[in-house]
Amino acid sequence: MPRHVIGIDEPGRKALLLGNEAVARGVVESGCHVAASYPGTPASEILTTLGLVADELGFYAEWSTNEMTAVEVAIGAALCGLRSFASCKHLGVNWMMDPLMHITYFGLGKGAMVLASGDDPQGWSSANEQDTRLHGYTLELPVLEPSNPQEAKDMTIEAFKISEELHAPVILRLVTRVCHTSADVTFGPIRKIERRPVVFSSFMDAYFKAMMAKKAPIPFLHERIHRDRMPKMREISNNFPYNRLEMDGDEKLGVISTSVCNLYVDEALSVLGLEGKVAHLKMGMSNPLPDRIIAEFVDSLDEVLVVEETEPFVEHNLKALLKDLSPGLKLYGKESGHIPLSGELNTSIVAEALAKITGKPYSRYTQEVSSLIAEYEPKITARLVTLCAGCPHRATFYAAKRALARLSGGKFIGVGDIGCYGLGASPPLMAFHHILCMGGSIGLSNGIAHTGIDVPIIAYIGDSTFFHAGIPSLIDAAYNGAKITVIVMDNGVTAMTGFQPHPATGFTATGRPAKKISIEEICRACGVEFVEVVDPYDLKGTEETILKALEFPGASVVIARRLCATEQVRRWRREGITPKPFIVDPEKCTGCKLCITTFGCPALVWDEEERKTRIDVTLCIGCGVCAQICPSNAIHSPGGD
Amino acid sequence: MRGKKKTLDLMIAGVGGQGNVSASRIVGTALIEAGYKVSIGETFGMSQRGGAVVSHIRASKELPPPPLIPPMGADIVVGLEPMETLRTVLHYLTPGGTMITSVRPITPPEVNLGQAKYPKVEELLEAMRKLASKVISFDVYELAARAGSLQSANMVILGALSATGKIPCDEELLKKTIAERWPRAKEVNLKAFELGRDEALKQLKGE
Repeated sequence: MPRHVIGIDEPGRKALLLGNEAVARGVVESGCHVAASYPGTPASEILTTLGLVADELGFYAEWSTNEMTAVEVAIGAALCGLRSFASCKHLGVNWMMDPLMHITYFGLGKGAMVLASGDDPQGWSSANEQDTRLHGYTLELPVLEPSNPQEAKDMTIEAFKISEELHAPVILRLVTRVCHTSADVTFGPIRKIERRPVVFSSFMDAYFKAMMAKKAPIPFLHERIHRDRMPKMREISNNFPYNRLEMDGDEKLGVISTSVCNLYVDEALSVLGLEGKVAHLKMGMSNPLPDRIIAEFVDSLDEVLVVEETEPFVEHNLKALLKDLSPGLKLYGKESGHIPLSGELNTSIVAEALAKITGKPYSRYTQEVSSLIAEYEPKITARLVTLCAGCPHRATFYAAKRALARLSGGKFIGVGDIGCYGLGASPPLMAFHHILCMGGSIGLSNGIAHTGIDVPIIAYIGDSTFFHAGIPSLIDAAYNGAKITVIVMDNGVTAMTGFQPHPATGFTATGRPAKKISIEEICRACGVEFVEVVDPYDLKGTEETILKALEFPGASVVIARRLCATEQVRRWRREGITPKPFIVDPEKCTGCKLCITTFGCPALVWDEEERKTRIDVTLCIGCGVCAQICPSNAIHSPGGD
Repeated sequence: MRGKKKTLDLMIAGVGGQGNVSASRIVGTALIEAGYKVSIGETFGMSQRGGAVVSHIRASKELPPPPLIPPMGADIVVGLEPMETLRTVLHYLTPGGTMITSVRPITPPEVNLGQAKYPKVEELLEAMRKLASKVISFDVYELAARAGSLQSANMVILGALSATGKIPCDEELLKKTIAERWPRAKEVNLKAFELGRDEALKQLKGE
């Protein structure tokens, strides 16, 4: 029995798959040989799933150190004539841009490569709404946009075919509502393509061709894209089976949509009773636009609404086409104010836009429900995300703040990084002042240190993020003498994105044992002279070591090492172990509330009536850190320790 | 004016870590086996970190439904935490729809810190009664503990959901899906399912 349903070769079988799992199935059905990724929500589960079936199906899958190294793995394999795949969240594409921007000029030779990007409209798990279609435009590569998990699988297969035809990578642009929607997906056959790697010479070939033609090589290669690839791409878009026209010919209003918005438009038309009265162009390939299909679509129409997330990408390119096709056509979309310029869309937003254009009545709520919302909504409090009960990061932040209080009366500048520990910025910990990007904690801290500011500077970076992007800036710190303290929040997994392995975990994406890369050895090799490892559950020891690090006259590193609490509970559960929650002795609890106001583990609940803390047994994992904080010794283990 | 509804829409509300996403995948798998096209919209980037989590489960005999249920579109709302249930019910339940909620609050950090106040559970239930045809309410954790594991709270709520008769797949199919998904926890999960079902049936008969 395969470790995941996508490994079963049973054409016609139906399974409930996450969009990401469906893409993984598409990769498997395409006979892909090599796949690489770095975890990032909403795209992480693609490679997690591939890793589960790679060994038994006979292909290679890896978690790479970052997205740039991942895409280089995929490009390398494709250059040898194989089929390869890379995936990441939208921001990972920025890391890939350097290698991609070059390979788009040189081409992939006989191989094929597909890149899946998980865009995140609304920023559910991201700090911006970057639209990968614009990267596709810059790269002059095709961009496909599936609308649901079934299409995500099927269009992955199409993407490989297009890549082979163009000798260039193809971008599969996913969004959160495709990646993280589960739906019934019908399987096709798993294709087996023999792995026959070849020695290639495309780089020099390209140069020689240019020199033989007596041309400057780079403009020659760029011109080749415009002369050869672009017309082919346009033709593929015009014939792409997922660029679908739904119209009778007598409609006056039309809608053009892409991705999941295709489904919102269908439902909005149904809600408004406009089914069959509005023409609909559903686009599965948005770069380049299918010019002939669009010409046919707008020919009989007076008005068109464009529905897309997140930038007005189709809207702008459509305007350029309309200048010649139908200059008088009324165009609605983001720039006309009918569709919001930011955020995720949904059926209601589309229905409101269509109602505004057609004059049909539509409101999200009835009068009665509106007044109930007005009455009760203010009574419902927000529920912000927080570090989990037992999280070792919470203990590290607490200890560091104690050390900073002793050293500088609590004055400091802190910079966080990308991962769960970003939540340390919220009350009551308020452990740092800014988070920017992968690796930004150390890089920013270096810049802050070189201003000459006279407060301690502390950078918090996770283990996986350290490997991804922390090492160059740590070398900068040692080389250029930035007096900063770096705390590596080493919880043994890439926790935020779903507990994936990384270079220090000792196992690979397929679960095989691997060389453990030592964070402390790297730090020392980077030239850092103060490198210590602590256990954050030992609050006092952690505080003392961080204090020493802060006092050290150069760059210093403290590695706070303790397995992620949620991963710990998962492992316990597999072994049949249940956590043993701690207990608050109500006789001893004075109600000082320090455990909540300075530490704030979610398992510590304030009982308003008793004016005492109690422990929520459904959350507490028995880490015992709060027992070290309580000034009255009121918190103890079930055994009484 | 609203067009004819073509989907069965169910929502499961809760707090990250309560097992809401697993429960929704059980219902989804069973509905596919019962011959439906299914889509489940979920946001679980931060779901294990105590945030609010809502699953939108949609089933249709025709086309694949979009991943999000429109406002006032849910035929059924079930909730594992009372304030989260109301947050969802207020915006999504079709007036007169069916609903089930747990009554045990999970206190948000800002309430513990004294920066916000958790409403009285009775007040939450009163609001729900103004929207739903009937409010089935009980402490999921009390029943889960009786079944043998607090982790099975999500199975308690599935049992209660099954008792309403509002989802178009029979109880045996749901139980089979649960048993196949977690073979080792089968006994506890099915016991939790039955306790939830019996409690909901009792409350439904008590009208």
